[in-house]
Amino acid sequence: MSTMARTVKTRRFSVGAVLDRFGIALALLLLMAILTILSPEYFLTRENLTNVAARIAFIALLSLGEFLVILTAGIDLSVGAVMGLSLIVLAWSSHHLYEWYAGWYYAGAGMAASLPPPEGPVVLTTISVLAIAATLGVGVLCGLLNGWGFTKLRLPHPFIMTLGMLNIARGAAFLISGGSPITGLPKAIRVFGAGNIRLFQFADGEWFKIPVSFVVILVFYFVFWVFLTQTKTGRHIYAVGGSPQAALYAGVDVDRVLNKVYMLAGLLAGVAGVMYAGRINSGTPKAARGGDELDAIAAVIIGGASFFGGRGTVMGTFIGVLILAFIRNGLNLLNVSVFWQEVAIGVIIITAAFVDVIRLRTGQRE
Amino acid sequence: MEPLVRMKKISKSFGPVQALRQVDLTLHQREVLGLVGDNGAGKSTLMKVLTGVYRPDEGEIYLNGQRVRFNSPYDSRNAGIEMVYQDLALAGNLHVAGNIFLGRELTKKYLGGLIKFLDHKGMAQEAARLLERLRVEIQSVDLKVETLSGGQRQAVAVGRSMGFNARVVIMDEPTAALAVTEVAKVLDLIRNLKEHDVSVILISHRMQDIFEVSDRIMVLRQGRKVGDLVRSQTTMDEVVALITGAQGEALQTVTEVA
Ligand SMILES: Nc1ncnc2c1ncn2[C@@H]1O[C@H](COP(=O)(O)OP(=O)(O)OP(=O)(O)O)[C@@H](O)[C@H]1O
Ligand SMILES: [Mg+2]
Repeated sequence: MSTMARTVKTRRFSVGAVLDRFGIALALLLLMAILTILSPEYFLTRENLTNVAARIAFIALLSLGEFLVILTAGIDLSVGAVMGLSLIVLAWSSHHLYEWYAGWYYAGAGMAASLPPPEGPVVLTTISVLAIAATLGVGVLCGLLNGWGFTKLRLPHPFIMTLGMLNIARGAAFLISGGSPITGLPKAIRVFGAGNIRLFQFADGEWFKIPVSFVVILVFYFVFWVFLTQTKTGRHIYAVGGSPQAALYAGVDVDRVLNKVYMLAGLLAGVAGVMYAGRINSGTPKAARGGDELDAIAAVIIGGASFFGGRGTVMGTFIGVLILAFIRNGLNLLNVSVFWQEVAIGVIIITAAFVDVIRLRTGQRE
Repeated sequence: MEPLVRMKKISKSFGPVQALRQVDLTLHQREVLGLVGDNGAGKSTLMKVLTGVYRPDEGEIYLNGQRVRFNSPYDSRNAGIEMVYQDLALAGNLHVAGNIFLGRELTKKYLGGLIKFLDHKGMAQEAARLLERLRVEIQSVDLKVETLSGGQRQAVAVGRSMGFNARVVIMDEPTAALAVTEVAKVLDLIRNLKEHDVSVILISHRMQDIFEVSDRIMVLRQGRKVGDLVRSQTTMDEVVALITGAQGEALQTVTEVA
């Protein structure tokens, strides 16, 4: 009998296979082409694209976390509220750290001369680092609790635990802030959400700038792409999403994988909080009201990830985020009412999910 | 000599269903044990207790005379027990190589061992070599398992159980979806494993397969062990009678062997 197992890749050039792989990228290009035609004088300009790039930061990070969770066939409803809580923790802790240090500095007048003043860059940077650490810690803690509720308390579906967490985080954000925004953040924090990197100068003297936040999300997306495609844990995340039973039987610690995933979603919500706070230079509890998690879920689904778990790519999610952002941006440019924008996005989500259903039906046997 | 595996008085219930009642099992070195019984007799449950998928309500498991407690298949695989599950247990969204190496991924170290990345190429080559050795006909190890036929999937599952130098390989209905020639291959593989000092537990409803490869045959009926027979000293009729309950019990031979 001849041996048939080969490592050679079988390449099949079919329209279906191409669409399957590049469908979303093509959809993005199509969308951009349409918007360019409809808004020729503004859509493809530097200002507009930079504007979009700066705006997508926090939603891109929330979507990345949501993508990990959806890969395991779960859902995280809390990422928006956790981001809101992170925002408050960031603003609150940097304010309190500052006040505490300033009080200490001015009280100990004798030795103050040898200490850096409260407004000095060393102190402000230290405060920023500590505040960011606290913020990310809160995000991680929320994520760990989400995972714990699902894997240890055995709540029926992550929907329940993360719905609970949504309310807890939102409540906590309002309790800590007293319901009003805490404005003014150290520059070292603001730079992530609002800073720009000057790349080169155009002939007209203007600088080509890219937002720091955009660079940050590119870095995060790259790191998570490597994580998901090149590491054991990443492989196990796909396996758990494809078949938790198969993963378990193969000796994968399914609960641990799930805990990691929810923890990472929480961490990314914390990072999103840092970006958001930096952008608006304040911590506002309004961000904790929620709604952003729904945009994140929408971006992930538009990006081609399957709600059934186990299917989807980091790149797809990124494109999903861009599609969502361009639709909002484009329809704004075209003066389409916000309400019609919502209708349009709804239709696109349903279409994307339907494409996934078709793909599953044709790609799978049985 | 200590048997390789000894399960002692294993009981397991699922709510009101008592799937196993005080079942003993012994498996010796270089032995093929046929495990038979009607649907729902408890065969799969007994094997899942052995691999740590289920924890028994009562009973003990010894490996080479050492008491073991498996909390998950991770533990049993590390102890050298591989199993082909009746419900196959493959992740359809992963490709063939990914499934074969699931939970046992090969990695390459970078930055002096600080980070480990998957060795995609190594796994693809090893998987292809393994399937070639088993003469499994699959075009490419890059194919997603969900695109394979039932028989091919079974072959992948069998292949996985053979790839990791196990001491015990358990096969729960490994031939259910296979064509006649493929069945012969699996039976060959089982004999081959035995020659390489691997012990095998084979669960099958196909009596001729059981009789072809087994050294000993154990019969379960309604969660109880009702037969333990040396193959050369029994007949298909006797085994079938034990399965259906037409004959009471036949456990004498075990006590003599053990
Ligand atoms: N996870 C479970 N939850 C509840 N009941 C179970 C579970 N697994 C098995 N059972 C029950 O335990 C009994 C034994 O089942 P088991 O799967 O071990 O039988 P089997 O001998 O493997 O049968 P078959 O030949 O059909 O594969 C059956 O009554 C079954 O319904
Ligand atoms: Mg069974």
